[in-house]
Amino acid sequence: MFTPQQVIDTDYLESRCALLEIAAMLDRYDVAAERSSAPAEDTTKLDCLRSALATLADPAPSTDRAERLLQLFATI
Amino acid sequence: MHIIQPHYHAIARTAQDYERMAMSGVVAVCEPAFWAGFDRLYPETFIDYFRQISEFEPTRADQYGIRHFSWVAVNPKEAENKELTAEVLRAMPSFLEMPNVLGVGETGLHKSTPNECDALAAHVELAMKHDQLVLIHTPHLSDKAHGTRRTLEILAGLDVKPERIWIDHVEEQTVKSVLDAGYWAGMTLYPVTKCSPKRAVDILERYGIERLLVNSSADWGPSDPFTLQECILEYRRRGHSSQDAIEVFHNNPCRFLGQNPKWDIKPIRIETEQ
Repeated sequence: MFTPQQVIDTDYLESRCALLEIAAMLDRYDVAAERSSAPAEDTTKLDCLRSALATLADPAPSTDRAERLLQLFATI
Repeated sequence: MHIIQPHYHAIARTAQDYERMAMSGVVAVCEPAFWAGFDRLYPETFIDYFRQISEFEPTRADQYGIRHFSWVAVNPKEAENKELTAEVLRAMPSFLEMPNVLGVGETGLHKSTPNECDALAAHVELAMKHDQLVLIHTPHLSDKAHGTRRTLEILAGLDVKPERIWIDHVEEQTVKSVLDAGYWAGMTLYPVTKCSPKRAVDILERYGIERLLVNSSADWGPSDPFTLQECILEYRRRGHSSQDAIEVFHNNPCRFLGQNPKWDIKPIRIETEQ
């Protein structure tokens, strides 16, 4: 198993990349909404993603973030 | 679809990549000089490397019907060695006369050290003296914003023609400053560490296609030449026409590179039979 430092050093770049893709997707949505002068008719999936991000932003130690996100995504 | 790979390190890739690129419509690749993964010690090593990319590699590409062009420079990492850089710069003009060498590149910054900055200025001055195009690498990851600012500051202090300079590896935080200064901007699509195909399309949609180039990642590290085709697919998937795609992925490289008369591939336009 990796040490805590190895986890950070090994997975940093891939996680950075994943976060940038999410940021770009949210930018893309806002650009599209601005161009259409209206939000999407059904924002359930977007709301779900924002809830997932809020879960991830909690710095409290946890070992079940992936499981909680899967349960969240299962509501869609 | 006719595609040009404007930034492709062919010596680090296999013949199978050439074959698959040819099958997907790639008609030309351009190979800038870059870092070998270790710091070379001898100017002669560079000279042999320049011979490899200007004499040998075109013969390999030709087997797949792909045109091969190249650029020569001391890359930013090795530019820290001032003596080596000076020797290689003295040898470069003879390569600039080769029939498929398009200019000076990739020069640029890595950690933006004083030696790197001096080497960048020396490369650009050499290129301008010989009326050459310039391809400038910008740093990776956390060094990118600062390195791009330094690059623009250095260029602002030199007598350059911005339309003949391509500043590469731009991302969301650097593209506007490069375009606003009148330079061409290149986006390099890497699986993890630089721009992604989707983000590149976002940038094309936000800033327009003028003076923007898109290149895949193709070197000896984690990279994938077909990130360019992924980007084309994403661009078309969002509703942009075939001609729009040709403008970005074929004609824009022709417009920049065609400033050097050695580049004889012309922009193309799809016509419908009447």
